[in-house]
Amino acid sequence: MAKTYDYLFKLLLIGDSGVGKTCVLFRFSEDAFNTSFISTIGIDFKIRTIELDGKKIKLQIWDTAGQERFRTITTAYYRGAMGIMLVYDITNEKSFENIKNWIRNIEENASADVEKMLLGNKCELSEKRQVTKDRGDALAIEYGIKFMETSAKASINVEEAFYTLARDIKAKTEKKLEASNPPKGGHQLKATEPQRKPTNWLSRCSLL
Amino acid sequence: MPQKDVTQPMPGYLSLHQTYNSLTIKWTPNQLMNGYSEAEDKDKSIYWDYAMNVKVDEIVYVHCHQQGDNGGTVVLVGQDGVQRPPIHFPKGGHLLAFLSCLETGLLPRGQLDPPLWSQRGKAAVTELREEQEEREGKVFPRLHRRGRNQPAARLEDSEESSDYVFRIVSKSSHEDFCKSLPEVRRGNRPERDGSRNAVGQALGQGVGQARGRVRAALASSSTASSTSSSKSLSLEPGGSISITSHEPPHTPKLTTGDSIQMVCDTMRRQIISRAFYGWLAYCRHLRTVRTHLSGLVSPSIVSPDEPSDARLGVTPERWAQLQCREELFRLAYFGGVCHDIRKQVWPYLLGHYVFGSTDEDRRALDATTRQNYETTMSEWLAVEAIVRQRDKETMAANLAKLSSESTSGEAPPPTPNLQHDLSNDVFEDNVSLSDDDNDPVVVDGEDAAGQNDSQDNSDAPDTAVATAAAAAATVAAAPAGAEVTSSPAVAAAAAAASASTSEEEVSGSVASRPRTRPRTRPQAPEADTQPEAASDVPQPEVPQPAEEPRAEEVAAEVPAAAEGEAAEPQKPKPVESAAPNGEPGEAEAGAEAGAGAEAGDDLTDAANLAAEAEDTAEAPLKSYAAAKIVMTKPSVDAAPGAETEKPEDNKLAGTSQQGNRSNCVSPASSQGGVYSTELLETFGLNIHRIDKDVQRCDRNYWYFTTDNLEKLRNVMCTYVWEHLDIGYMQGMCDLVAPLLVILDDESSTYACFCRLMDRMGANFPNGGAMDQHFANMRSLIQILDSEMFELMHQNGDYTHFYFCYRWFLLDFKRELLYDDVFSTWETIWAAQHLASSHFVLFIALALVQTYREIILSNSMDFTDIIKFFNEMAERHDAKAVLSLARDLVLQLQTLIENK
Repeated sequence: MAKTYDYLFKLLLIGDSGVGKTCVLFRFSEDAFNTSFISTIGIDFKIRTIELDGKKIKLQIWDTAGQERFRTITTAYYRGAMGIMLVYDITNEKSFENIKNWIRNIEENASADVEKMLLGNKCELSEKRQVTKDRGDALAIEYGIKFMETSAKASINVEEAFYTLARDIKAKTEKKLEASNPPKGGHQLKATEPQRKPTNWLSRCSLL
Repeated sequence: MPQKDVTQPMPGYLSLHQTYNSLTIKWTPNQLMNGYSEAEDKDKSIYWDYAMNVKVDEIVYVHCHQQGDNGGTVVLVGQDGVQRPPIHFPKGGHLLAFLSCLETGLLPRGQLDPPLWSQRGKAAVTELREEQEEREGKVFPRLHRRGRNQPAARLEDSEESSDYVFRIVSKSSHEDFCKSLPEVRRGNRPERDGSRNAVGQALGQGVGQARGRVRAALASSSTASSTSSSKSLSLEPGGSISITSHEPPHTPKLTTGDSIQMVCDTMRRQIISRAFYGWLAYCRHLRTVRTHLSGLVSPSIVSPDEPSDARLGVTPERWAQLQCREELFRLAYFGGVCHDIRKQVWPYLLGHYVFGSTDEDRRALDATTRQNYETTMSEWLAVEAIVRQRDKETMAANLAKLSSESTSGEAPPPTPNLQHDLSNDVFEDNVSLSDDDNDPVVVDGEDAAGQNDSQDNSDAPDTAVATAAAAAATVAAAPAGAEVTSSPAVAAAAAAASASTSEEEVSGSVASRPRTRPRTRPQAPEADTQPEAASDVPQPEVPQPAEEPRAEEVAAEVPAAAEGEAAEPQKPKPVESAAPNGEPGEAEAGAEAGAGAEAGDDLTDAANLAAEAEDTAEAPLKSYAAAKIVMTKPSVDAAPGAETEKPEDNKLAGTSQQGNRSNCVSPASSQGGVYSTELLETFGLNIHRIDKDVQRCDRNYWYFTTDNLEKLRNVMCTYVWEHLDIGYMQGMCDLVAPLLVILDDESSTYACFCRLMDRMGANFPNGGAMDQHFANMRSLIQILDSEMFELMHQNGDYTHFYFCYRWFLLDFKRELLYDDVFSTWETIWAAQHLASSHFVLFIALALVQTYREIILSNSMDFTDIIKFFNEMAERHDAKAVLSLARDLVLQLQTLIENK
């Protein structure tokens, strides 16, 4: 099976129940909005392949149950995640306050260098707003992550948010790749080549 | 041999590697070792030519030469008679260590001959040790080989040198070998003089090769446990292992016929042993099945055909004639229940009704159920009212934070006032609310001085005031979404409440009002008798600290009253809606105003209410304290309007329509103080969760209109109130929904849901049953579909079976369409008494089996499977899946029965 992408990024959507994670994901993957979504049970994911700087990036985005009672199954997916979208609802103060808890959750369960991003969803409901954009900004700065206000319903910033996160992960990944695989020159090749073989069988030995 | 031109011993690293089917000796020059620093600049590639990699399978002899004090040398001789470069060991017992490692490595399929550690070998070793002790300083013992007149003794070393020859023997051919060459056995016997004779046995090249093949064949076909461990003997890196040359061995021949015979015998034996191992494995497998899985199905197999064909299910005719419980389960299990009678049958299947009970029994049970349900409901409604008030406060606080913008078009909320009260008690908020009382223009409320005034006025510290305040709070909570501007009406209600000071204990009784008439709201009847109160009373706001104790006092008396009232049946003529001044006309006007405000939304309901209000307003006013129970009916929205005569009512009614449930107000809320903050918070949290999920529960299904969603919410809240320790967990709504659709009655749905949760509760987080399901799933797949198990095994993650999570949590409710959910649930419930109390497992298995080919041919991994099944939701052929599930149960039952 031929690979149809250059990178596969696993992303995770977390946040309180009812903040619109599934809708954000649906907007991004199908470019549609559906009011009749039911609460997410267990776990699901959607896939969308995007293109960044000529590279095809397959985004595998996991959607989780919001209620933290289901943490045991959700955290199983933290580990594999390369990027995490933290979503709150701008009309719900509590969901914003809980972002701190979600971040703690990430720190406990996800890999340390996971890319994070904060989304204040439902920004089309300005008349019900309880959390100002400034507070979202401030929180994002506090944690050193990016922030956007989105609306899955009105299709505001959803696309942008995922592209931003993907771009950051891509940059990080490529940087890492370079670090571990420096550009190959003839000189270096010679130096490393003879060393490799003994290492191989030695490591086999040391397994004993 | 590259080593031949090496005159000096070359130091290196010797190791012995064992894989599942071969043993390999490797030697690598130190120059190639990692971390070798000397001569770093030189080209090391030539050293690779010296490295050795010898398969022990190809080796027939191991020659050991003791060289005085210099340790020893080992030469390996292959089947073709070619010697491998000699390996020189430093002194210090390394040679012996190498040999014993080699011998261990050869087991179980081969051995050294003579054995190093067999009875003879042990003697040999013992003697070696003795010798060692005698010759102190010489760590490696002298090995003696005495050449005899046997063909085996061929080594040409001098008599003084202590040499051994070990043969590497494959066990499987050992006996044949001994039979065919008895003289060799004799020759192998050690001599009594203590010198050890390792017999260099003359083995024909042909035999050697045959043996090599046999050994290889055995290795590849062996069913014995694999030995993947690897053993190595390593000498210290600096140790000198030298390579010198040695003479080739002498190789006698054996006839071809003999070797063919040997090969045939060996193969025959292997075939028999494989058959035996196969049978043994099968027996073990069956034992696993019985020990681990016998609990999953019931031991007795029930036939679908006897006494009658059960595949038609429970039809109305059969239902009418049904005599015994088992028959009901049998029919339901194999054929489901006819949709028309589900409402009657389900309570039996769930164990709510006892089979064989009389009509009266059931009616009594229904009545009790309903009464309990209503009592519980009134309890949580009271708390909910307080919670709503708190929410409102919080929301106001949040709004306050957004000081830059006013969110309401009707009037700006008095946010500045609220701001300093934010974190305070529930009741505190009333201050600002009641401030607005006289003044529809709420902007005044922002005046902090005004608030101070109102607090100063708190010189009416009798319990009545507290009650009134609480009532105000609850009423204020009613239009949850409503902005603070709606408070005038609220304040009026509060005033009404306080007006009826003497009756506050009666208010408790309202809680026990039968909820079959959810529209019955005991009103604040006498409020109107003292219209001025409306403006006075709210203002004497109880100062915070004093408030709680007082509220508790009230609460203390209220429960008693409530209980007393609960006992007596509610009179048929409940006060529907008391017009504030007892004038029907006014009430009507109010109600209509409300209806008007409701606009298109709940117009009919509002109209109904107006009618009701009209009727009941004429009725003699029952003396109920201020507060009302508003239950499921949207019409309730208009209630506040009906209650107060103020023109602002419109506003209230209008704003309160945010959610019809939001008006749930209970008289019991006047006892707000009795509830601990903790309880309020817990329940509040749960209510929010329930609301979020109820609002989005199955909106596409015809049944779930706003009214019916309200019922769903009531059942859910009641359950959670009764089980606050568990709390609401996502998924519970999904379980209530189908029950409600069938039973269409809150109290019986609640009762049945409780029954359902007896079984399902443990599936939820912290229940622990989910892991058990996964483990059982794993075993079942292992037993019933090894190919699938293989695939799952290979994609490690799979074992977590998270793709089944939702299946088990919701009994497949999300996987199937509603009609199929009904029949699936019936089957599960019936199966519990009939075939398997873990029938869900078999449905899950049937689902996996249904798509088996797709899964296998795409060799789906864990993520693929999750995606696949999520996309397949509601597209399964439920009938086929259920039937397959029943077959699987039968299959397992048969397997266990037949042992």
